[in-house]
Amino acid sequence: MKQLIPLLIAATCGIVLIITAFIPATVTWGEVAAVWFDILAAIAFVLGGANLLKIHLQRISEQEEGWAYSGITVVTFLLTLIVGLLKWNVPPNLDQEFLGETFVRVPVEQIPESMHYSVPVDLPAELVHHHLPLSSHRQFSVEINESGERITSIGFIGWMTANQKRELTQHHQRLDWQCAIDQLAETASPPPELNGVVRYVPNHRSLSVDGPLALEGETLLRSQSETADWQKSIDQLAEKSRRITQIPAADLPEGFEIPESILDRVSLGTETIDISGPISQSLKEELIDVFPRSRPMTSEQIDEFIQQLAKLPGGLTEPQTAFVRNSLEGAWTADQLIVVLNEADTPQPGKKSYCDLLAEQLAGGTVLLETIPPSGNATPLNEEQIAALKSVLFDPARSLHEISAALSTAGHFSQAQQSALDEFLGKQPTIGTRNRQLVVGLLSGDQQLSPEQLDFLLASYREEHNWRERVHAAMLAAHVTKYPWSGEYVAVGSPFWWSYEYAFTPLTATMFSLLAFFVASAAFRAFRAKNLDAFLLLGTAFIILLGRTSAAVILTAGLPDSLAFLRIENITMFIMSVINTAGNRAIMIGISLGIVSTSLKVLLGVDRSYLGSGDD
Amino acid sequence: MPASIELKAADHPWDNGDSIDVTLSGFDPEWLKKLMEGEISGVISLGISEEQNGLFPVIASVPPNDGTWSVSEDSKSLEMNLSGLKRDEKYFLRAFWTVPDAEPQLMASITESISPERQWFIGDKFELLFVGLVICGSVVLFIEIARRGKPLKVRKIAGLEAVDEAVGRATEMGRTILFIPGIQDMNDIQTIAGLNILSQVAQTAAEYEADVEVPTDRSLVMTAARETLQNAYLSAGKPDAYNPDLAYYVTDEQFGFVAYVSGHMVREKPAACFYLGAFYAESLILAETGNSIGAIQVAGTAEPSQLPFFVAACDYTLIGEELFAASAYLSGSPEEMGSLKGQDAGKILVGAGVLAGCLAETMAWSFMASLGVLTAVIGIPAVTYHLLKAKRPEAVT
Repeated sequence: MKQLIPLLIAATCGIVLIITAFIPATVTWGEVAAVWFDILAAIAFVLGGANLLKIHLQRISEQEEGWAYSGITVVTFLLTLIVGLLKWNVPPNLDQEFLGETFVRVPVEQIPESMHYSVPVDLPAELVHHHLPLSSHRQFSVEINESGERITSIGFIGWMTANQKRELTQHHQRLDWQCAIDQLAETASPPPELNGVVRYVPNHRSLSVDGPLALEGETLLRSQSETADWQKSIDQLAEKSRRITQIPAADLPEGFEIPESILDRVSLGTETIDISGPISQSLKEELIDVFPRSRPMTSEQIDEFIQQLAKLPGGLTEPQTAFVRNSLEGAWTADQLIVVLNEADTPQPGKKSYCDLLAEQLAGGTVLLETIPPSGNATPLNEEQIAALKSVLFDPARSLHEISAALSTAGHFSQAQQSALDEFLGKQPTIGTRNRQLVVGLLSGDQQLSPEQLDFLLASYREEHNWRERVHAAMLAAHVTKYPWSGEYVAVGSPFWWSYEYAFTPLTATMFSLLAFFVASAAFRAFRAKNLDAFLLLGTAFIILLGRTSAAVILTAGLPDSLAFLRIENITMFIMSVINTAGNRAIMIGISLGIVSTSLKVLLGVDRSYLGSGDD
Repeated sequence: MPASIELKAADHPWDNGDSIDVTLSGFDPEWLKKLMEGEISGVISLGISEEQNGLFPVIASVPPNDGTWSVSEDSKSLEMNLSGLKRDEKYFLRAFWTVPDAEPQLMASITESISPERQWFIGDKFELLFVGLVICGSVVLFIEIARRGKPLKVRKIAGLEAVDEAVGRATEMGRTILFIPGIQDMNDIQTIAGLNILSQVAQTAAEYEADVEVPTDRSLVMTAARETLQNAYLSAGKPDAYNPDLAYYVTDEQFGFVAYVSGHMVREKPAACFYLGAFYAESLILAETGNSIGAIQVAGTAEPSQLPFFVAACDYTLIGEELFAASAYLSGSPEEMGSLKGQDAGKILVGAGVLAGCLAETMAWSFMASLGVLTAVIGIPAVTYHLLKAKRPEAVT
């Protein structure tokens, strides 16, 4: 009996794994068996660890020879275990942290009734026979009529995210289904005041607010339900999202101004900058983006810049001068911006909704096209606008932000063109970054720059970098950690990483490097020409070793092409790819047959030695 | 746009029910060739929908060919396998022709829906199943033959003959035997083969009253090794001599394990070392360390890249399948010996296949023709000789 159960388990799992390789319907059984093995191995680790501690502690207590090594083993084992299990000093994984958002846990069951939405439909019931997308299956529901053949309504708990809508829409390529999902998504959306600010995150079972929760939003949320749980959740959300973070206001960038779009959240005091609520990545970018962008320069402006640089101690060599000139001339031009703005105004094709397409289908349409051809004509920039644009660009005293005002005044300037302008300028390096790139190029090869020249070029970049670091630190300080243990074990800088990088890896490399010496000593013993077989082995080893060096190529390079096969590198390749491969494959065939036979013996219970004995 | 193009779709046979085969036929070969080479401006797109007059979002298009499309031999058709579909769902397909700056035009469509169906077997694995059944069948057959008392001969394997010698040496020197069943877990067949041999070695050692130490680098292997040792000592009639601490866990880490074992070997100087299982880079470190302390070493692994190191540094090496045959060889059990014969049948099959393949490639014949020739030239005479030899009466002296 003691052996019967393990034999049955081994046989069952083995046969299941074989079957799953051939029968598609059973694929998941194999995955389950593999998972159970992993669980078993993980539990067995506890046995192994306990055994390790027991043996070494015994050696220490009995003061056996070498007990100090056991002491080191026990201490390092426990340290690694504790530091690793607790993830000591490991920062959370930022991908899981949703920077800028505050979460409060609200399971689907606690979502108020007022946030349960449904739309009446008439769809075949078979549409929900397949598994629904994982992102929505907890929130999505259907009502089916008495006969079980038609879906009479579809429902959703909470607010549907864009991802859920996309997955549900793609679940069936049928317009009636897709239109119904569209309608449901429109119904199951937050009120306009909360749209884009508050959302329900289903995978994290949390209600989320982006930035601080405004009072109006708080009132709206509270009105959804009077239950104590819900009110408590909103209390927590409001409190957590309105925390104030402060950045020291000393040494602010020159001309720093809080962007208009975030004035409601950021205020500048005498000593500190106060930021309300967590800082998202986009808010961080806005706070950082206060440094002037590089812009096109005229020849005179380029000459002036080069002269300024050359006048400083150290001067500039000719190659350096040429490099600076080429770099500055190669920056973006006004013409490039004009092309971008003209293209941005090109009418784009529209897209019909699924309900529009359904209506078309019901009206008898057979070839349905999703896109609506673009209408209207593009309006390129006129001469006045081009002149206004250039006057802003080439005047260093004027900010690039004045471009849109200048273009709007001089002619037609659409929202699409504004977006294209913002995007174009956003991609251009700041003056500090441009100068830093100049420094990298000017220092290439043996070229040098004096400290004064470096200060001149890098001063603005230093300022940018410092400001960026301060804002990033503020973002982390304003963030309320959601999953403290989500970080990687080997996150750079953590104690676990340090011990892996500076203790474990060098020790492993040391052991691995012993192989070099052991190979030499093994070869010294093995490659002795005692008989014909040994001589052949020695000769082959000699050719292969020599063939791996450049000396062999030189030795036989003089052979004519008709005798190219005698070149050592070709002989080496022949031996490795033909003779060695043949031998390898023969061994592999034998191994494969041995594996089949042994596996069969284990499955059939013929060989039970690994269980302890061949006896019943 | 090419005219008279036909679109056909059929369930892909013998699969998991998630793919269909699509064929677009009726092309002019020259036109198709130009299209595939990019000389014609335009794209053929394939759209799919669950309704006949629905929206057909594009799921595949050509050119460019991302490898999913193939041109038929007569260059008149395009074929592809569309996968990732839902089993038993009804689909309609349409092919569109799109040129730049114009709306897509309907090229062809299917009027009946197509459903991918799951078959009960994966067709790509028919040959594997056949070969597997032949080899497994021969193993089972010979096990059965052996059970009925037919004696089976196995050639001598020097490494296994040396087990007694190694254990005896350890007993005389009063030192331990070190046995390492590889560095992989119990899900590796080499580890199971190693533990099977451990059972025999431990039984011999128990009879000689020598200790077998089994450091492991997996907890499950430690547990299995303990069971094996305990039962071996029990079978040898020496249950009191068994010490569970003889099989112990060291570490999962490869070089940490070999560092411990090497240090242990240098300090404790075991008289015999057995390395039987899956080994990788640490094989030479273990073998050379064992060589430096003067131990008798028997190694065996199914990792071809490590075999040269063991051959160079150890006294005896079990190469490849000898590792898997060792358990049968040492135990002498008829069933296990029968399995070795079954393996040989598999080797004959492989050998015949290799020869037939070489002949087919050399003579530009088909594989089955080559196999037939080989059977006629070698197989029939061999069988005839064997039968005649069996029937010849014994000479009377």
